[in-house]
Amino acid sequence: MDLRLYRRRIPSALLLLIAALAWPARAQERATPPPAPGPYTAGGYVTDAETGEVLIGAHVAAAHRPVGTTTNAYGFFSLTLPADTTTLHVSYVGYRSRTVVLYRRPDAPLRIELTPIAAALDTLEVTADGVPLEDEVQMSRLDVDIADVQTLPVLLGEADLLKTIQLLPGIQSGTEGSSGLYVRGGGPDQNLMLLDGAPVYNAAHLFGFFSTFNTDALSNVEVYKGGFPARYGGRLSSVLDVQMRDGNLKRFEGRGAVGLIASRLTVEGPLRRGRSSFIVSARRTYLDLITRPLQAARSPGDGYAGYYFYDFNAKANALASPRDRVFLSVYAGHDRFYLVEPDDETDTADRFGFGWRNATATLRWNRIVTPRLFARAMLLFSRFHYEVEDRQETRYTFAGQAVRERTRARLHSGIRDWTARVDVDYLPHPAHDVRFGASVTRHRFTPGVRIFHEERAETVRDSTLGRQENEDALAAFVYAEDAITLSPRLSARLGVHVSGFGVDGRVYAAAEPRLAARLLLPGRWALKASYVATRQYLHLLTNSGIGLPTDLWVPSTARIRPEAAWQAAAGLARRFADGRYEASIEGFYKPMRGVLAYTEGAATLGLHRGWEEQVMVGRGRAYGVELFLQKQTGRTTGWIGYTLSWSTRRFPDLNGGRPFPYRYDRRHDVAVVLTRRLRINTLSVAWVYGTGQAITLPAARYADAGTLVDVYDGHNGHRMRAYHRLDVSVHTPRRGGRARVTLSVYNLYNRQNPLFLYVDDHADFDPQTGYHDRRRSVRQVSLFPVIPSLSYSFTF
Amino acid sequence: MRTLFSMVLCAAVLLGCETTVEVDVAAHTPQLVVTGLIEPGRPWHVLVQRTAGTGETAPDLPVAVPDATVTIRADGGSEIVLRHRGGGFYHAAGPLPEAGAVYHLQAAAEGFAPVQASTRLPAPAPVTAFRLDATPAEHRAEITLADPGTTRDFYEVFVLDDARFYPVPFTVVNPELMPQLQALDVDDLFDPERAGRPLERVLLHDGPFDGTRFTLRLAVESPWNAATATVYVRAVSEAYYRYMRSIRLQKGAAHHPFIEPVAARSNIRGGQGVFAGFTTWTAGPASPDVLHRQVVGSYRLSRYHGEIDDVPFDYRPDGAAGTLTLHADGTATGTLYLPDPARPDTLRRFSLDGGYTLHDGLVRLFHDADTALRDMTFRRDPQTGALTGGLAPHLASHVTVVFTP
Repeated sequence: MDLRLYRRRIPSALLLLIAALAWPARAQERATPPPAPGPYTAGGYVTDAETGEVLIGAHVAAAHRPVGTTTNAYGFFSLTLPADTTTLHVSYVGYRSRTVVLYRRPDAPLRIELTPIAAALDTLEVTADGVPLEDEVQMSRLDVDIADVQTLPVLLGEADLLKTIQLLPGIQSGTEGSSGLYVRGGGPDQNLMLLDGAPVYNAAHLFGFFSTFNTDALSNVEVYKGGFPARYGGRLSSVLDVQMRDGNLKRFEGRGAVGLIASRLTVEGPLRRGRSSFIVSARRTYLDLITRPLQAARSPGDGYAGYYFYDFNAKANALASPRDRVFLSVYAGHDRFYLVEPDDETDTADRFGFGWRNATATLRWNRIVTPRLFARAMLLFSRFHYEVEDRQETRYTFAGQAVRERTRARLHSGIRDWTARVDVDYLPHPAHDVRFGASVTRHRFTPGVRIFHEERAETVRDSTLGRQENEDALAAFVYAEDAITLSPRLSARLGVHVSGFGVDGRVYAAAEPRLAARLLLPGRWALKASYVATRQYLHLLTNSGIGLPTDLWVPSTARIRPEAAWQAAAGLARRFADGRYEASIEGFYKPMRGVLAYTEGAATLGLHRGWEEQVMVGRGRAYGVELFLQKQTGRTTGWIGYTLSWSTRRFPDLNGGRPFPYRYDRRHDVAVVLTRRLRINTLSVAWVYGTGQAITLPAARYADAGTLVDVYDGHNGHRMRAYHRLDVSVHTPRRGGRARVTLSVYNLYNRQNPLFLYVDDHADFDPQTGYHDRRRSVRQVSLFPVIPSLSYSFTF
Repeated sequence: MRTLFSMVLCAAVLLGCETTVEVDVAAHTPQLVVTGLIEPGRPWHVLVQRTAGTGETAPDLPVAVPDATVTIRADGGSEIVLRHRGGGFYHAAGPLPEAGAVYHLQAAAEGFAPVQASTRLPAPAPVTAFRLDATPAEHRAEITLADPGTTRDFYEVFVLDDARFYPVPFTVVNPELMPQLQALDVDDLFDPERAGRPLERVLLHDGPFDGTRFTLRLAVESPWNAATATVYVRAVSEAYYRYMRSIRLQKGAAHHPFIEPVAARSNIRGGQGVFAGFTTWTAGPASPDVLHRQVVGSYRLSRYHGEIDDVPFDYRPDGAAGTLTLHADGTATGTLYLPDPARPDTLRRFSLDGGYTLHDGLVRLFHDADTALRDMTFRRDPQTGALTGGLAPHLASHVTVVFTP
């Protein structure tokens, strides 16, 4: 296919689709007949009564009828009701349920407000009244409650979304303290992280110890480990769909927190009461400001090093009409490490630094076309960029003249996306919930450029090494799916995601089926199964595994084909004890092909030369079983998650072509999370255990022609010690509940968990032979001992 | 203020919060390591040592296995038994290797799993033309290869300047060879001089020129001395190419946190090392045959000095002496007398009986005696014929040993 045609046609097709959406909407508005006896459809939003923000996943059902649905990611629901239905029952976790009487058939979108329980009652308990687990077709999905994220024990006083997600079964952390996600044996690049629909390419702050998601600005988080709905695509292993809060439509308020290394502040309120609102949230670390005086006191004149990050979230939305709502959200984050080394003797200053930036923007238009048809159009922007820089400046006097010499070396790389997207939810019949849509993205990759600038005497030398032209790629997909209720016991979701990727004159395309089914067994056990195929056109080149900014995003090329996988999963789920407990067991099998790894000896910092020469293509396989027991209500809530899994990789030129354990192959992974609401305080405890990481270590050595040759017992043939730790936090309310003091203890029993291992050589000189007697040992570096932290959060 | 102080205190704790401890590693079962590089018309010599496990104290020397049974058999030929000559060096002068023949090696020793390997000794490097353009500023050499189209072929190219004692760095000009040459070299982010810097030797596969007449172009800015430098073009076996490439990459990647570890590509089944061969084409005065004839002979120790932990020493005034005879069949005999550090004014006697190899202009000695000469490489001075060897300064000791004819 001619790529130019492909580029021209896809945006045109998207415009046509948008026009088509608008046309039937107007047509239907005109053609809707007067209400007549018979089933009818009610649609609208469920919102928070205090803030006006939409509630995602709220349950809306006909009272006393087996007819119900949930609000989508935008708080919208559409429900076809029997002719004689006059009342709706609306419920949501943490909110007081409400019965809504429909005095007449609604001719405009409904707006149903629910009151938060904490505001309605002075209660110690959290109650749940959501959709029964066994009623959902969707499997392998987990909803993350932002309140949980802010309650669980934290490292250095910073609540972190990704660290909470790591506690869920099937999702593993990387190295100690890292916020990287490894989902069902997949790699860190196989997770689609969306912030208000825009992809986030590097979700790491501070070398991965924190994530880019500021919890004060978030409203809803969904994690899919498998069974992906057709609307998601582009990654093999998981989807993390994060929605930012819309801002309070009714009154101004703010919140903030002061922690050990960072503080944050959020302000929100109506722009026009009840019609439009905004939210602005910012966070910055100050570790560099705190430690600089310490460094100066310890080694005066020796220079200093520092690190900081900040991020900024903002969102505004406006109700243009009862049917139309427009949103604009932006995110910007920046990390920077710097090292300044002056040398007074030679009058030289060396400044080294590296940093990375993430930015996203989303412009979204939601329209309730009819009670049965909800449409969204989005324009998305995402950018990730990093750079490493070293500057040297020397001053001296030569022949009575002051001379200044300067050198500068800089490496930078990045990726930038523009996306246009349309999604439609349509309920043509009570037994069908149809979704379809399309998206087109223009990627621009900057694989890696090194620039050298040198000024010596009167000579100025500029050189750019390994400059590779910016690589443009066009990605597009269309999707359609139908959630079908075949009988009260059997429901299914059938979908397909058709994706295409054009780069460098080559076009890849694939149809990815997305199938899921649920059968209600006797005893309210739900048997669920899913099959999904996935395709990934972008690759992340990384071997550090610790979230270094030098991780490099590259496109599929004519030589490096897209990654592909399919995943089959099956499991059982049900609720117990009047819905107080939920239990599920899921098994999964996921083969992958086209996965990348660096060739042996490849240097991640030297990718100015063709990256394709430094990677190899192989296969992977992951399978396992996950158990999840959760208690969502009562004074004590929490969950126990256990994963038994295997994950291997196979490359023709690695490990003799034999399969080897993936670095994060973790046989056993356990998380126990408990929160107990006491009379005044809230106590949270989290304990995690994981099989040791697989790494490559030399098992032996021999001498050959003056050099020592390392012998490895297989790639990733060595296991680090098992990882486990216990974290505890206590939250104490202050100022009548408008403030909270949190004391957290990370790694309570001071477990020395391995961060990495290295081989240490001890050489004793033998004067007789002139050679050394060498003893090798393996040493383990641990990062975090027991770490207490204190933070203070407040609202105003 | 108190809160601020607490924060500062915690931050200070954080600055030094990492800890390092030694951890146990699984016991390693030692394996035989066989290094057998064969060349047409040269005596058989194979080094047999064993691996030393991580956690085991061992010298930076081959841990010799002296009691192994080492045999080599050609396809359709009789078995050649190699005899131990010292220092793990096994030797035979029987029917010599022939280009194009396939050889099978077996080695066994008590306490080790037996090992075996096979290799085909490549046909002579198919050099059809050689041209050297010399200018005061630059030398350019063109080597035309008629690469066979039916096989995957591998080559090694280097230049030795006999007068300078060192390899001559050069640059390969052919752009189509850049990807495989760059992949051999560990890169450095902030060293612009390293990008495209001259190499001392290159390993090539014929992927870009398989089955064609291909002209390899070499350039060196600091010209070599055409009167004393020799261009070597080797046809090497695949096992040689893979092993040497992996060793080179492993050395470059060692202890680098951002480079994938590299495993040595051994073709020894059940063990480690390499059994491989090559045939050499040369242009210049010091072909392997000439060099071999030149090094054969008797020598006496004339210098033995250096530094140990920055303290200089010289053993010759203290009575150090020795003789060394390199025989044409690859064996070596001799005696070395060195001052005994435990008993002043006393000399210790060491036997230098064993063997030697001659590769790339370097003489390497093997013997049982625990001397600095064991595994040491010597260069031959073309003017005086003296053999000069030494230990590298990075070993904390710098020893220079000279044998004069």
